[in-house]
Amino acid sequence: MDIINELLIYSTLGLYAIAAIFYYLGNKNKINLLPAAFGLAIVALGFNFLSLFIRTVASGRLPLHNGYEFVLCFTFFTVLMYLFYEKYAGDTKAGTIVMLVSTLLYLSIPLLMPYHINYIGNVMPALKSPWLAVHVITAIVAYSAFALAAGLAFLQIKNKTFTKDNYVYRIVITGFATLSLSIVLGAIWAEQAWGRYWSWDPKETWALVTWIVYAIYLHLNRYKNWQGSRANILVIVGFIIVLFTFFGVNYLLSGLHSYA
Amino acid sequence: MLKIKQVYDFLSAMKTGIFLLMIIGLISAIGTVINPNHFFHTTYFKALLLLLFINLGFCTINQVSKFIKVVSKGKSKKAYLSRQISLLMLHLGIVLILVGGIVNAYNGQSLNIKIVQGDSINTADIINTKNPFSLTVNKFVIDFYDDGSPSQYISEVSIKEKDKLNHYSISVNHPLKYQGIKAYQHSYGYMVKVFSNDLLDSERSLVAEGQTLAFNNTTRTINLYRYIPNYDMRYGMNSKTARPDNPKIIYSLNEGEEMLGIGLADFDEEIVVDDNTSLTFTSVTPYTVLTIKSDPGLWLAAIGSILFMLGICWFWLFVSQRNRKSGNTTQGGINNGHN
Repeated sequence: MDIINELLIYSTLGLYAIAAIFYYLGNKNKINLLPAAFGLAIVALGFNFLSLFIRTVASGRLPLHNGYEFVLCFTFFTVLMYLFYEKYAGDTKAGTIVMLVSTLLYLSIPLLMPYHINYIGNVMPALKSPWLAVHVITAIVAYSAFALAAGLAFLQIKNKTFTKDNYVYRIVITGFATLSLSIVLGAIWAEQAWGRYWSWDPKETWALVTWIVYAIYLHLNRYKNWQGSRANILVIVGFIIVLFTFFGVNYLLSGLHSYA
Repeated sequence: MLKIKQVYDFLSAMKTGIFLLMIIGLISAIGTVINPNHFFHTTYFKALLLLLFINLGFCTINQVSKFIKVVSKGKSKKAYLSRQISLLMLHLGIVLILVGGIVNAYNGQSLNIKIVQGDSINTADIINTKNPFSLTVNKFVIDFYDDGSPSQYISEVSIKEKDKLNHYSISVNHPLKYQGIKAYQHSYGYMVKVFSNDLLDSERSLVAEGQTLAFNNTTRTINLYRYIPNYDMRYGMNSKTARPDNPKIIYSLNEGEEMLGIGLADFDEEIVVDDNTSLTFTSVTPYTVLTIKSDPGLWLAAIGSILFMLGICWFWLFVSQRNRKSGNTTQGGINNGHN
């Protein structure tokens, strides 16, 4: 079983990387690789799901309890949302960057948490709550939406065309609403578990910083001089802070959220 | 009068709010790195939060009055109503959450209290309360998984009500709510029971970790360093698990300032202190640490968070995701569209 788990993780990582290359070549119009890139992404997504499924069966609980499980879900939803976007908007340009980000996210597993691939720990008392599922799932959806939005924003800045701004806005709103829910649901849970709904814990504070960046983006969106590249830079800055909220806080700042 | 209007306009402006958000975000980020324990409780930071609250409050009031004016003219479109109501709900929600926070900052109370198994406390001794009650910790229990890691910490308590004794259990994620007060399972620890033929303070038989014991017939002392529930050499002075599979007590024997030796004792093992003095650790008694809290602003924050969540979901699902290419410009209010 251990070998299967590892094999799955490394194949998914490889597939995401190859999908990124296919999207890159396909978008350059050298050869028509885009259908193959889409297919590869689907297969990688299936493998990613399989890892999550095996873990759920083996642990007997939802895979939402530590950093490793979070990365599996984070990547899964990022790619899923992108594929929906690709079909809905008929745009494959962001494929390269989204698959690259997914590859890097997956790469953090062997680099930062290889031990977790085959280790399922017991659930600590603080995490035994029905609030866990809603708090973490909303955070995952938010992070994934911000990843996709940042991918689109990066491409717009690179190409100096802002035709996808409407999509960026709608995806950011999705991330912002789910992040808001995650923060509030987390606060309700914290009130029950720790007796305080807000403690200025590093994770809380950085989630708030993330929330503020996107709140500023949404408020500035109506000013003409804040559309275009400035707004898109803010979307990318927001995602860099998301990554810090996840990796940086887990590995650099200790606090109440130390479950990694 | 013009000056007051100018100040009000400045304080209620969205640009001021955005600026404040930016400053708060930037300072918070720095705060987590520099000194998270003190930073967020400084007056400067609280003043910034207060300014944001004032800005948001005024801004919301402006939007409400504008909304009422537009609606009373009776020509507003459904899309406009939907948009404005959801935005008002979510902003009002944040204002209420901040009001709740301010009420808590001034009138809320929260204290951690250590209670040895078997002991009682009266809430009136801990916090100001209109309906004080006495709480007894009958038992503190740790539930374990098979591998010895903790699965739950439980304080079994009883509260005397008139002539009836009611039993409750307080565990992590399951606080006790009683008479406007909440009690949370915060942490725990152990007191060690000692027996000696020669204890100086003969009344004291329950000893906390780190305490020193003195005797009548010798100048030597014993320092009880730590109780280890599951001793394993490889873990040194840390317990392998919290489950008492191999309980040991680490102590030191001292003469004045000088340490004569360090020992690892079993329960009921006789420790010779001096010719006529000996001591045994007989057992441990757990204590629980409960957080006793009252937060009169909680209901405001609760209503605020519900309004905020409803408002933001409404805006997200029914306002923001409309295809703005079809040109449904909103009337009077904010327009995010740029297509």
